[in-house]
Parts: sequence; C-alpha cells; structure tokens
Amino acid sequence: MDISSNNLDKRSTPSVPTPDWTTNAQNEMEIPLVEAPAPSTPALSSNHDNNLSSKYIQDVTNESHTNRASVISSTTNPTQTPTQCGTHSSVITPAISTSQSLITGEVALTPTHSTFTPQSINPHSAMTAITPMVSGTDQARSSIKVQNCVSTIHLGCELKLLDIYCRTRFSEYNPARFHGVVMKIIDPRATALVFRSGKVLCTGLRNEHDSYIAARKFARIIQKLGYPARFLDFKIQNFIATADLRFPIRLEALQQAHGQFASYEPELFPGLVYRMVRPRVVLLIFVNGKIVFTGGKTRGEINEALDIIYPILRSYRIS
Amino acid sequence: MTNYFTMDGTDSTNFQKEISGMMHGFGDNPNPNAATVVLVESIVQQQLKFMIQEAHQNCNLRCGKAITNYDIIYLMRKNIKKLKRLHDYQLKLDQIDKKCILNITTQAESLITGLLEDEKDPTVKKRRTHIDYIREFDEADEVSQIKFDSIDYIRKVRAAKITESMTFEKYEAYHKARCLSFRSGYGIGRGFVKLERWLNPVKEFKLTQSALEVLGFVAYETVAEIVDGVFLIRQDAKKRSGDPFSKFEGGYFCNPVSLSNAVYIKSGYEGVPAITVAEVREVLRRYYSPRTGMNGLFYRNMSLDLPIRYIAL
Repeated sequence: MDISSNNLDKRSTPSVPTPDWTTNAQNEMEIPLVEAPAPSTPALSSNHDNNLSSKYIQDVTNESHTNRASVISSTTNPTQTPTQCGTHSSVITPAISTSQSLITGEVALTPTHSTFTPQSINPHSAMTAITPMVSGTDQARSSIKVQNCVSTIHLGCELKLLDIYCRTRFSEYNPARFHGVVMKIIDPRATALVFRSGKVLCTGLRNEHDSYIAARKFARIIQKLGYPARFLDFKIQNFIATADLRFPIRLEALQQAHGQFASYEPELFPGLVYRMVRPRVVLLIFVNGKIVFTGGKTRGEINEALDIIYPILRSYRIS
Repeated sequence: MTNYFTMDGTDSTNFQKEISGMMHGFGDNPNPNAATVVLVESIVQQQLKFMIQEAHQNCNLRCGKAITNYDIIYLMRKNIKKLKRLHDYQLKLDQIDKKCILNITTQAESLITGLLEDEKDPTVKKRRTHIDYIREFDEADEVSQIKFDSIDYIRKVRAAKITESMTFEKYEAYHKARCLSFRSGYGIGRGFVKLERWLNPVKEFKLTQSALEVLGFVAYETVAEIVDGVFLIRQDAKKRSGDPFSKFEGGYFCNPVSLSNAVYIKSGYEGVPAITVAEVREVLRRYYSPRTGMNGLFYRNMSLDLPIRYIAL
C-alpha cells in the first residue's frame, strides 16, 4: 500500500524521474516510458523485460546498475536489504541526470565511456563483493521468536462464574478441578482464565498486540453478559520466546562455571536452567544451542538476556 | 536376558540399557562392559527388593495400607547427606515441573500456578511431601545445616572433566546417556510403571507413587555410588607404596593416564577403560567388610539379625 503511494509522489514530479528498483513498481513506471520514448529523456527503469528493449535503454540500465553498485560498496552497509535500495536510488539520481545531459550520440553510450564514467578506473574492478555478513549475536537475536504471551487484565467487578459459563460458548468450568472459567475465542486464537475476582488471564497469543486485542474481546464478551466490566490494568505478564544459537553447548562446563545461576540435572530435565538476575529472566539452554526464555516482561528484556548470555555460551561452544 | 548374574531368568523387564547409559554418564567407558551392567542391575534390584521388604515391615508396624515414601525415607534417616540430597532432588523436581507446565501453552489451567499468587489452585500444590518427612525425621535439624553437597559436587566436576575434550558426536551420546534415569518416558508424565514391574512384578507389595519416586532416586544413587567406588578403587590401585607424590598425580576419575596401571584394563575406544566385574565386586567387598570402628572385627551383633546395609544409604 505504501509502495503505491510512494509512486504517486514520484509521478507528481516528472521532471526528475527516479529509478525505482523495487519490482512492484514496474507497472507504474511503464506508462511514462511508453508515452515518452524520446532518446534524450532519461527515463530509467529496472524493468529489464520492457517492450522498449532498445540498446539505449539497456545500456542506461546497465550503467545505472554499476553506479548503484559502487554507491553500495562505498557506503559498505553490511545489512543491505532490498527495501533500502530505494533510498540509494534517490541518492544517485542527480548524478545520472547530469551525466545524461552530456550524452550526444550512439557511440558515447557504452558503459565504459569516459564521459559516462568519470572515474579513471573501471568501477567494476573497484567494487568489492561484500556478502552480507551478520555477527552471531545478530543472527541469534533475529532467531528470537515469541511463542506465547501472557497478559492479565482486571475487569473491576465481581463475576458469577457459573453464570458466565452457562451463557458463553467454548467455555469450560469445573470447580473441582480448577476454580476459574476457561474461555476460548477463535480470532485471535486465545484462551482466557476468568476468575471470580474479575481478574482475567489471557494466553496463547504470539505477540503483545494480539494479546491486547484478545483481552479486549474477552472483556467485551463479559460486558455483554451484563456485568459492569471495565478494561483495567492491561499488563503483559510473561513472554515465552525461543532462540537458536546454531552451535552446540557444553552444559557441564557452563554449570561448573556458573554454579549459582545454573542448575543442570540431566536425569530430571535435559536442559540447563539458567536464572538470570538482571534482567529477571529464566533461560532453558539445551545442548543443541536452542534457548527458551521465560519470565520476561518485555521483548527488550529477552533481547537483553540474549545479549548477555551469548558471549557466555559462545565460550562453552563445542568445536 | 538369562544370565549367571540374574536372580531369576524369567523377568523380561530390565534396566540394562538405562544402567549402561547411567554408568557412561558417571564416567565409565561409552560402551560399558555388558557383564558389569548385568551385575550392577542385579545389585540394584536386590538392594531395592531388600529395601521394600524392610519398608513393608515398618509399614505393617504402623498399620499402613500401602508402602509410602514415609517408610522408605525412614530407612534413609541415618544418612543425613542422602537426606539432604533427596531434599534437593525434590526441590529441583518441583522447579522443573513448574517450568515444564509453563512451557505447555495448551495446558492453560496449569499456567496460573506461578502467575497469580492470590488465586492458587489448592489441588495442584503439594503432591510430594518428601521434604516434610525429612524434616520430621531430622529432629536435630541437621539437614538444613548442610550447605554444600559434596557428592553432587564431585560428580559434577567429574562430568565437566570428562566432557572437556569431547567432540560433538561423543558429547551428544554422553548427554543422551546422562538423561537416562529409572523413570520411564519423558516430560512431566514420567512414570514409574517400569520400575514397579521390575521390583514388584506380581504386585505382592502395595507401593504408592511417592514411594516409587524415592525408590527411583535410591536406585539412581546406588548406580552412582558403585561407579564412584570403582573410581576410588582405581585410585588406590594406582598408588605405589613409598611414592610421596602419588596422591598429587592428577584427578582420579577421568584422567586416562592416571588409570593406566589399574589392575583390570580392557580399554575401549575411549581413554577410560570399561568398568569390569572384578572392580564392582571389589567395591561391594569394601562396602560390606566389617567396619574398623570402635568394635572393629570383634563386633558381635547380639540380636543375631544381620544388619542390611544399603549401598546408596
């Protein structure tokens, strides 16, 4: 949606056509290309399979490719993603348009022509191939996946659980087993525990936003039953997240060195339980390098915990 | 497996695979000697059967219906260190159970226990009461005085030393071996069905689940004690009389060099030679040789009943 709005902006200023490298834009860019096929207009496009497949257009696109590549290599941004290309293309646009004004004939349009490439050396040879290398911490951090998100709300009124159970669908109430109503909704798929005091615990969601929406829906359901329910104290209580370090860990050595935080009893549980004090997060660390985080109140705490634990675990890696 | 060592050849349930894994986990060769495993298994079984017998007598004395963990812990009452270990064992088990429950998202009703303190579920709490019984038996409050579990420490140091220079494949096998225990299955629902079938095949005794839990702990401890004893024997075998520095020569548990002149060596592909039957027999002999205490060899048991001693206790 935002891409199309972007293109609308670009079309409002037709004097400086910007080459858009996102492939989604080719339909938008095609129309001015067809309408203005004059050789002097610097209409650039990343669209290789354009029906105006003349030599001129192809050469220009090649040239702009090299320019773009040199820009990337000079900025040396290691985490180059396709979405960031748009900013780069807007940077190089004036350079291309100035060089376009110097072009006179068919001959000067070879990509290595000196007027076209002011550099003394071939930009291809100056370009170093930088593969996007990410550090291990970044890789581990990007592997964090929230599996469950537990939130609580307070409805601010006393509830009659049996009444709620009888009048709602998909709910369970078994006072002998558990003294709360278990309610479920489908969209977002969530489970809530409703207590007599008006506290609701909402679980089974993958992120905070869904958790908030689910909590509001549960509150609304109870409100519709005729209780004076309000939506108070929404609070995320617990994030359960997983991460993958992609290297095996020697748990015995870790347990020896971090005896006061770690407890490792393989005959009871195959993972090492690491109780971090600050941030207050419990980590379950497994031999294959997978980690489960529990007890974190925010995503920041989980990220922080991973940043702390990563260099530690790194030193107990099995080579 | 019908064998010379097994008491009766009829039992089909055995813990040989588990025991061989446990021995590997405690520092034996990755492929423990099969005869040793069979012997250790029969020792553990015999010990536990004796224990159940004695607990049954105590249970009858106090007019109990079934053998509970009370009776088993009663047998352990003299050994404070082991009581402390059981105490810790229960604490760890409780923590881990809570952790496992937290991880299961569908079991939503269990989630509540750790989160909303004011609305605690009365049915969930306190299934295990080993700690209460330990407090009851431990009148002088000695268990809580123990701050440092030396047995646990030694075993952990040994495990850390063994794994120090392992490749990933070997470490994976080692980790799997350490995960084995006398409980069957995985996760919270780890049961003691197999243990009960092993000890009590015709259900002549009534054993509660909590009693089986303590028995599983004792069985695990027995295997661990036997392996510990073997390493002590190897250390002794290494000592040369008259060498003042022999006691400084390396660790006695895992350093392959220090084990090179142990008597019975049949080395596997790992540095540590597999524990032999003779070594286990020597361990037992040392356990059951008369104490050289105040009475020494002149000790007479006046009431003529032989005191049964348990390796794990």
